[in-house]
Amino acid sequence: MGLVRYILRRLFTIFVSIVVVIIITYILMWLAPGEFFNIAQFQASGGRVATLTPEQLQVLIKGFEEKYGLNVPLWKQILNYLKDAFRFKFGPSFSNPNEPIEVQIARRFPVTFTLAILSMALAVIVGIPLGVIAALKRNTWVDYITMFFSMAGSIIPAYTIGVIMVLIFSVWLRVLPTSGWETPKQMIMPVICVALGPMAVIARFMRSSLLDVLNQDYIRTAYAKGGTDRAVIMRHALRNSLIPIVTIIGPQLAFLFTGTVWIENLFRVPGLGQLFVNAASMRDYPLLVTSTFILSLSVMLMNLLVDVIYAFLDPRIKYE
Amino acid sequence: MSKKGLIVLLVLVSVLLLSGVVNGQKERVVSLPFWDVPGLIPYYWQAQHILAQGTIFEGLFGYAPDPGGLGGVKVVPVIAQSYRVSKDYKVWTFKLRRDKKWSNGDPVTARDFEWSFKYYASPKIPDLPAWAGPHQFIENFWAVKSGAMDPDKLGVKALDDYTLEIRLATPRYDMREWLCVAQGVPIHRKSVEADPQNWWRPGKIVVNGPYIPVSWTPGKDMVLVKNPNYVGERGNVDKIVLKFGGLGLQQYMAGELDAAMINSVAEYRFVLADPKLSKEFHEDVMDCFWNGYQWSRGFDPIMDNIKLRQALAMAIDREKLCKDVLGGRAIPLNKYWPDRNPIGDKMKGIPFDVKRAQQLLAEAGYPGGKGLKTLVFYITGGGDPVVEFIVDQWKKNLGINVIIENVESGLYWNSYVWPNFSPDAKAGFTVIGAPMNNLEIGALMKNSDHTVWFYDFPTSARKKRHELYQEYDAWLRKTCGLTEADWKPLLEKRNTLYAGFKKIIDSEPEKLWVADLTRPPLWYDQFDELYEKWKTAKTNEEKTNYWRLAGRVLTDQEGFQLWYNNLSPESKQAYRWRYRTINRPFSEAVKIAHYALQLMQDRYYMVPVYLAKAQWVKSPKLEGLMLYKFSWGPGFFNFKYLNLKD
Repeated sequence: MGLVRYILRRLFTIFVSIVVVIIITYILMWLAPGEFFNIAQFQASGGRVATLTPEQLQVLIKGFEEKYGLNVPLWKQILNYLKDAFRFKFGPSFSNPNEPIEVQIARRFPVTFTLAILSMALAVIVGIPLGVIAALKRNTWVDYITMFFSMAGSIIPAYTIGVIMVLIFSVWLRVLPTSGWETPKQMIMPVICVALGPMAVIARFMRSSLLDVLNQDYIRTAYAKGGTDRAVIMRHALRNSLIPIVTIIGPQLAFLFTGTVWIENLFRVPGLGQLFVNAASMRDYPLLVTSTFILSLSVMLMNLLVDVIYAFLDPRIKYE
Repeated sequence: MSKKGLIVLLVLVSVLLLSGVVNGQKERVVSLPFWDVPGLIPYYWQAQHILAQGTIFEGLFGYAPDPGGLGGVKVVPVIAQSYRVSKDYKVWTFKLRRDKKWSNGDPVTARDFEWSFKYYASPKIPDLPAWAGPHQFIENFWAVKSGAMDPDKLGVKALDDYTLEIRLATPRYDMREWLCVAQGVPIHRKSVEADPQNWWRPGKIVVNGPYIPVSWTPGKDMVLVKNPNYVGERGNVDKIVLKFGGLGLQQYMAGELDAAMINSVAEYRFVLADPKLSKEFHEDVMDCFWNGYQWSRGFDPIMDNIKLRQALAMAIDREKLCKDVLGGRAIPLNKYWPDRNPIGDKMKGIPFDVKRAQQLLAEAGYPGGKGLKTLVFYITGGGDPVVEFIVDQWKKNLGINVIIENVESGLYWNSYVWPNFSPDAKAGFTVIGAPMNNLEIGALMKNSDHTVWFYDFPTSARKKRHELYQEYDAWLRKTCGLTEADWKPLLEKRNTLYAGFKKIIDSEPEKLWVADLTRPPLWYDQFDELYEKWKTAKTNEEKTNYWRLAGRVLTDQEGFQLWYNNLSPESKQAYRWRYRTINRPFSEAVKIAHYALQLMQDRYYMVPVYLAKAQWVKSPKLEGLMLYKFSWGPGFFNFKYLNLKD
């Protein structure tokens, strides 16, 4: 019951936080220089709008503001947005008036979700053993090589690695398609590219966390009681060293939902990243607010999930 | 095996083989790069508007390839069979072909056009980007769009199933050209009314173009197949796969695309060095643009000095820029239209002449750049090698200091590059890539007519004009106008402005300009009418409203007179030529557009520097690929001419 109460309390906090985040976003948007209509149409028209008479321009501005609900006071705009947003109704975006944002998200979310989960799974499956090996063989060439590659994975942009992979596997060897997101073959390169960053982070965290645990008294006690390396590490060290890893996996996963834009463009993966990053670069305010909403919600829910998982990993943690 | 059995077997084998061969030949698939299409509603100014111009939709007129023409295209009748236009170019009557069909087999009729145009104009589509289509010129369009008039009053009428009449508010000599664009196409009434939200989705959409979209994934691709009911010229391609994003050249090299744009100097050099790719390489000049810089739209009087402006324009080595910085992917441009072009051939370019530039700078009062304040070149998105080169040239050749300031993208484009005025801008520049959105007479000026509208009068007048723009908007918020006393200053102003207006009308030598200014409803008639309505208004709200509108009419007129009276004689002359240009058919306008362009170019507010090249590789088997050279370009479009050789 304690856990359920804790989750309900946290969900309420999340709700309040989201409301505050949206209010701040709206106010920032409102304070930013430039009229909404101009932002959406001036650049697009390539100066053509300037040739309209003031009356004609007024008609267009009025219509535009009507379509996007900008013809009411700011507080009402925020209220209307929040009312709809918590029902996952976001209305149309400036850059895509064809269909509501929720339809665009619904189409793209499964793709991003799959990409994020597959990439994170790969990052965990490879990153944790790499970190363990590096920790167990610390200050040997194995450690240095492992850490070198994990460092390289985090500093070389995924986009660059993606281009190199396309050249090798698609152009020269012709064993993988350059892009797409339908067959498992098409998923290989994007998943690897997205996984490299988190994989490197996980490996480094795992290494330091395991080294920290291995120096604890209870590990010495386990060895003193005659435990083998394998038994001590698997039974005592690994589980406890996983706690910091869980902490970083949650937010990493949330950011993967929007942080894969370059990879999506490169490999023509129709995910959320493209949508949300374009929102910022094109000042597509309805989409910008919605991406803030989705990203905030994802990070907060992931953090909640991580906190709940703590309880299962570490019996000392109790939620009141 | 019996003889009969053998014959049956042979027939079966033959049929199987034949069907295999036939199928093999039948399915001609072409994969091409394309802009990421966010939907298929043709009237929005998004990537689909390019697809709607001749591939999935067709209008009365369309584009056909014309390598020598502006934009590489010529306007040809598509659904129109013939047309006639009234003497005043305000009533256009089109006879339609009788054999054109929608993809569901319904005939395409004049009623489809009438209904569609009225639908686009109706308040049902409040966010129609009307500046991008022909409807803005149709009689009563703005009243209909604002909701003040019923859509049925729009000046479009099907006289019968195959005759369409379009009545315009003002003469337009380029309606044929305007009717080629995406907003000029009809949509299928029954399917739109059956599902107003989703009629455009693949599987539901009914089109009248040569190809039907059958699948679409934003961010990934779209598949188009031949429209079996299409009647008209088209190539032999059965299926087109449009791929959005990705590494175009690598996709091409991996055999996943049949053509790809070259996007960087590195790719360009790689292609030229490759024996196979170099044979498949093509390029063309993007003549519908000009790339260069413009003075900032702020209010620093320093920009009033034409010798300074001229000196800067003459001190840039455009050849070197194109060779060293742009890697040969552009040609030097010292006039708004390039050489070997019907307009460009008649224009005089800005020479690269450092000595003359230095002399001009000295005459401007800044010998060797001394005494000139540091100017600012606004850019966006990080480094811009072209701007760095220009700034370096000015420093090296003229001793002028210009700093580069990076501005956030939305702010840059909408508050510095394209607005009428930028009160916050310091003395300096922004880059400008001035494009034609489509073939139309006004666009022959390629936005350089902003020189006349927003630049070429003294700073004090520019500033006042900006204030009047603000006042015009402010009138809507004013709360007064309930008494005669409130009208007194307005009536006085009306009379003063009337005298000024009469003076302009009487002295302006260009009859076309005068005709435009005196076309009803005249501003003072509008004012007088509002005053009369105010007198009989019943509520305070109505009274205030009429008073506000009258104030706006006067502010608008005041802005015009301020502009007219302060415009430089050269720009005034340019505007007269502009009038002469836009008041004749497109083909005739092309012949005289250079007069206005030359005058505006020689004011040096908007300065051309280079013209980008479109570069691509394509399979030797692929023919009929049309380059899109207008403002979204470069890219490919109008796929009905595609042919795949066996």
